[in-house]
Amino acid sequence: IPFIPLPVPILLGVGLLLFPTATKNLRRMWTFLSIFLLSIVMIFSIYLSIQQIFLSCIHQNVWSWTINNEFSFEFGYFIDPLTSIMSILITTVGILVLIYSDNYMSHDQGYLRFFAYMGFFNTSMLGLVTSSNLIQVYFFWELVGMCSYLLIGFWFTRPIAANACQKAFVTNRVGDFGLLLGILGLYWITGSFEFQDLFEIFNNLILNNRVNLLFLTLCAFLLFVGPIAKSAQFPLHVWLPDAMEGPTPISALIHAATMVAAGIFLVARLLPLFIVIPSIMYIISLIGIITVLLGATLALAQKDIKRGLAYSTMSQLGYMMLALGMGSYRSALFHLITHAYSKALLFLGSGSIIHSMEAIVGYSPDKSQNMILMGGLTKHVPITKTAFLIGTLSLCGIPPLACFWSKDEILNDSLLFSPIFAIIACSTAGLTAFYMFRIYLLTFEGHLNTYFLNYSGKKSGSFYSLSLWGKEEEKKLNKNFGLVPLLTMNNTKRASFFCNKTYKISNNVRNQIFITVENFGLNTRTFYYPHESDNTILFPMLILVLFTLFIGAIGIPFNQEGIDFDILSKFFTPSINLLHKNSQNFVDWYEFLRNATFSVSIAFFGIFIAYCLYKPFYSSLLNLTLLNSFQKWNSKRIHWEKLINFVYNWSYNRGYIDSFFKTSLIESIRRLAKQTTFFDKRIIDGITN
Amino acid sequence: RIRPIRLIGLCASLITFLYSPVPRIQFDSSTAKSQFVESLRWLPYENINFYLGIDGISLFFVILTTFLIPICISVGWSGMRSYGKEYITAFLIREFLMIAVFRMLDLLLFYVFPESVPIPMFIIIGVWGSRQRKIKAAYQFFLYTLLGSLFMLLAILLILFQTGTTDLQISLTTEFSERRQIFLWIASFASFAVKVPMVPVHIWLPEAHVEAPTAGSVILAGIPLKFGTHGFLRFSIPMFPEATLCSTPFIYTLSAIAIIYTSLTTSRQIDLKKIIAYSSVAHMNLVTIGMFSPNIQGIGGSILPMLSHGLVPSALFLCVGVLYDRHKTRLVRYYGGLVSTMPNLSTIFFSFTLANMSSPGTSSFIGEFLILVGAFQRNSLVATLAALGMILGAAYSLWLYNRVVSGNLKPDFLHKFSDSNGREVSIFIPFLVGVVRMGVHPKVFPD
Repeated sequence: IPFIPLPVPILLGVGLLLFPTATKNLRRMWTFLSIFLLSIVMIFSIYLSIQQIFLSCIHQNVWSWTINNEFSFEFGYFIDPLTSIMSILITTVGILVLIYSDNYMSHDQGYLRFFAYMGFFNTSMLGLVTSSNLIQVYFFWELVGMCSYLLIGFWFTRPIAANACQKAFVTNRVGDFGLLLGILGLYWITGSFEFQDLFEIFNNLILNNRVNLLFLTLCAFLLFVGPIAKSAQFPLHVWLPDAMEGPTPISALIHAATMVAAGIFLVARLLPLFIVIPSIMYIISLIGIITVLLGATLALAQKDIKRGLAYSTMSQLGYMMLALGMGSYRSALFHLITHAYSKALLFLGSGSIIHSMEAIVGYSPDKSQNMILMGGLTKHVPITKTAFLIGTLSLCGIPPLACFWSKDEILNDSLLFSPIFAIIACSTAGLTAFYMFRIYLLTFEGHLNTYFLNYSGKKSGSFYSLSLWGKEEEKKLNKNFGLVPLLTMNNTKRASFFCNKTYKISNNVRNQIFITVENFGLNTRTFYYPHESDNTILFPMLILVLFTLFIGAIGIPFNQEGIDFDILSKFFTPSINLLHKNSQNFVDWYEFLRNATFSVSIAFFGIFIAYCLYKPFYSSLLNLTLLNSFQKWNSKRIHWEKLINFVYNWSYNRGYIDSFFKTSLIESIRRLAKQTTFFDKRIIDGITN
Repeated sequence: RIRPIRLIGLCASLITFLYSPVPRIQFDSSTAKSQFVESLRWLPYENINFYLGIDGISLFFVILTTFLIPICISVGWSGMRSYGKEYITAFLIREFLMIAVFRMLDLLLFYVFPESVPIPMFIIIGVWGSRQRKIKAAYQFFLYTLLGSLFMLLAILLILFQTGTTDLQISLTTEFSERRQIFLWIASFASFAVKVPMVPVHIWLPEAHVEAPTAGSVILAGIPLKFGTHGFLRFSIPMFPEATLCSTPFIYTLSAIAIIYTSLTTSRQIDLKKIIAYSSVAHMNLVTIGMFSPNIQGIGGSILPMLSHGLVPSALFLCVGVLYDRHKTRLVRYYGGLVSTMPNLSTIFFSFTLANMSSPGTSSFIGEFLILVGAFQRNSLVATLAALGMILGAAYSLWLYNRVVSGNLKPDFLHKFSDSNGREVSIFIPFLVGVVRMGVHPKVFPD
C-alpha cells in the first residue's frame, strides 16, 4: 500500500530535472494523479479495515535485506486495527489537504515541488503505520522527519523558515537517537525486531524475571524518547510552533493530523511492551500531563494564529499521551482520530483566513497570521467562519461534536487513574476552551483591526516583510508615496489612521489598486476586504466539518440499551483484550452524564471567560481610541494585572523553555566545539609543526 | 593539444571501469578463497612473490576505484590547462596502485602499495593545489603516512622472520605467540590508524583535502581512506585474533572519542571542504567501531559504510568543487540562497547531505545501523556515544546545507549565477544511483 503514492514524487523529480517547462505546464495533471493514487489507497485501506472486523491481524513479509545468511532484515507489512485506522486517517486527511492545497499553493512557484514532497510524505507515513518491525519503523520514522524538514523549509528563502526546519530536524533527531538506542537495546534483550515476536519474548522474560528490570526500563524509556520528539511532548516540543513556518496545508497535514500522531501511534503500537513496566507507564502519563498543561498555558497568549493552534495541538497530544500512559488505549486513539479531523479543519480554516488576509496586510507571516490584525471577519468569510467555529467548539468539547466524546473519555479515565491528574486535565480542558475561543473571537468578532496598525505594529515590532516579494515592493515604494498622501488629504474623517496605512500600503504593491475605493470609508464592502476563498479550498473544509460532526458517533457508548454497540471498541477488541479487560463496560449512562456535564460546564466556563476578556475589549475599539481602552481595561483589573502579566509573559515567551535550551544546550555545545577546534588547531596541529 | 591526451585518459579509465565488473559475473561465491589469482615471481630468493587475487570484499572496492577514476578525470576536464599530461598520468598510476592495494595477497605488497599511493597524491596536491599552504599540506600528508608505515615495515619483517614467507594466506594460518601478536598488532595499528585516520593523527586529512584540487579530494576521500580499515580487516583482525580481542576496548575508546570530537570540530569549521573532511573522519571511526565488534552485524555492517563512504563524501566534494569553480571561494559565510540560482545543484547537494547524515534510503543508513547493532551487543555505552555522533552529524550537515543553500541570496559575494551544467549533472547521476541503490537494496556482497 504505502508505495502507491510514490510514483508521483519520483516522476516529478525526474520531470523537473529533464523537462522543466513541459512538467510545469502540466502541473494540474500531477495534482490529479497524486489525489487519484491517494484515493486508491484510501479505498484499499477502508476495505482492509472492514476486513479487520472479522479477521485477525495480517502479517506478511514482502522483502528482505539479507546482509548475511545469519542476519537479515525482513521488510513486510503488519496490518491490524491500529494500522487500518491510521491509514484511513492519513489518506482522508491527505486527500483533503491535497485538494485544498491545489488552490492554496496555486500562486506559488514551488507548486510542483510541493506536490512531490506531499506524495513522498504520504508514502513514508503510510509505510510507517504498516511496518511490521522496529527497523522498518525507524526507517520510515526518519523519512517522515526528513519530509517534515523539507516541508517546513518549503519557503527556504526565508531565514526563519530555514532555521525552523533545521530546528525541527535536529530536535527530531534527538528523538531518533533515543529510539535507535531503544531498538538496539531491545534487540539485545530479545534478539528480534518483529513486533509479534518481540512482545512474546518480552513478556516471557518479564514473567520469568530473567532480565534486569532497570535496564529494561531504560530501554523502554529510550524508545519513548522517539515519540516524545515526534509528538512534541514536553522537553522536545520546541520545534512544533516553529514548524508553523511551513505552508498552512502542511501544518494541517503534518503538524496537526498525521506526523505528530506518529508518536502516539508508536506508543500505542508498543503498548503491550510498555504496559508490563509500571514505571514507564507512569513516566508516559507524567509527560503527557506536563505537556497538556504547558501547551494550554503557552497557547494563551500567542499572537500568531497558527502558533496558537500549534500549541493547542501540543496540548491535545498531551491528552493522548496521558491516556496511553493510563492504559486507556481506546480513548487515546479515539481522541487521536477526532482531534486529527478537528485540528485539520481548524488549520485549513486558518489557512483560508490567512489567504484572505494576505491580500490586505501583505505577504509576511508576521502580519497575515497575526490575530491582532484580524477581527470582524465574520462578515467577509462566512463559510470559513462557520467551519472554524465548529472546529473550535469540537476542540472545546461541546457535546454533539467529535472531540467531546473522546476528551470526555480521557477525563473520565484520568479520574479513575489519579485525582491529581484528573484535576489538571479538567482545568486544562477549561483552558482549552478559553484559548480556542480567544483565537476565534480575535479572528472573527469585532472589527477588522488592520486599521489599527499603529497599535499592532508596536507589538509585532517588525514592519518589513521579508520574502520573495521583498525587492519588488521597495522599488515601487517611491511611486506609491506620491499617490497616497494625496488621497489622505481627501479623506478627513479617518485621517489619523491613514498615516499608518500609507506605510502599510507602501509595503504591499498589490493594494495600490484599491486605494481609491477604500478611502470612502470602512462601511462599504469593497474588494479591499478579505474575501471568501475559492471552492476548492472550501470543499475540503466542508468535508472535514462533516467528519468533525459525525466522527464522534463511532465511539459513542450506547450502553443504556444493554447492548454494546460501540463500533470503535469492538474494532479494537482483539488488541484491547490483551491490555485490560474492563474497557468494555466502563461507564453506565448516569455516570457518563455526570462527567459530561462536568466537562461541558468547564468548557463553557472557559468560553465565558474568553468572551468576557476579548469581546468587549475589541468592540470597545469601535468607539474609543485604542490607548484609552487599553488603559481602561487595565485599570479595572489592577490586582489581576500582575498575575496576568506573569501568565502572559510566560506564555508569550514560550515558557522560557526555548531560551533555556538556547542558552544552556546550544551555547555549551558551541563552547565545547570551540574548545575542540582550538585543541585541534593548536595542540595536534601545533605539535607536528 | 591537450584534448587527445585527456580523451585517451578518459577512455582508458572507462574501459577499466567497464571491465571491472567482469570478475563479479564470473565470481564463484561459494568459496571464501581468493580468486583470479595472478602470481609473479618477484624476489625469488626471499620467497616473496608479486601475488594478487580478489575476493568478495576487495571486488567491490576495485569497482569503486575504477568508478571514481574516470569521474576524477572528467572533473578536471576543463580545469587542467597546465600539465594536462601529467594530470592524467598521475591519476592512472594511482588507479593502478589502488587496485593493487585491494587485491594484494602478499605481505610485502602490503607495505609497498599503500606507501606508494601517497606519491602521486603528493604530486597532485603539490602541483594542482589551490593555495599557498599546499606545500605544507602535501608534506604533512606524506610524512604522516610514512611515519605510520615504518612500524608496518617492522612488523612485516618480523612476520617474514617467523614464517619464512610473505604470503598472506600462509601467514593467516600461522599461530603467533601472544606477546608477539600484541607487538605486531600495535605496529600494524600505527600504520592503519594514520590512514583511517584515528583521532590524534587525523590532522593531515583536512589539510590535504583543503589544499587538493577537487578531483584529488574526491579520490582521496573515496579510496585511500579505506586503506586503513581495509588493512584492519585483512591484516590485524584475522592474523592476530587474541591481540584484537585485547585491544578492542582501546579501539572503542579511541573511536568514540574521535566521533564526538570530530563532529564537534566539524560544527566549527568555516571551510566547506574542511567540514566534509572532518565529517568523513567521524564516519571512518564509526567503521572501526563496527569492525572490532566481534559479531557478524558489526563486521558485515562495517564494509557497507566503507563502500558508501566512497560515494557520499566524494560527491559532496564534487558539489563543493562545482561551487568553487563558480565563485572561487570555499568559505561558508559567503554563501547563501543558492537555491534560487542553482536549483539542480541544490537538489543534488541536499540528497548527498541526507546521505552524509545517514538518513534511511541512502547507502550509509543500513551500514551504520548494523554497526550500531553490532557495537551495542558488545558495549552499549560506546554505541550510545556513537549514536550521539548521529545527532551531531545531522546538526552540522543541516547547518551546512542551510547556510549554503537556503536563506537570502548574497549578491555581493556571488556574482555568477549559473546552475550546474550537463557535464556536472551527468557526473552526479551515477553517484546518486549508487547511493540510492545501496540504500534501498544493500545486498551487494556475494559472501
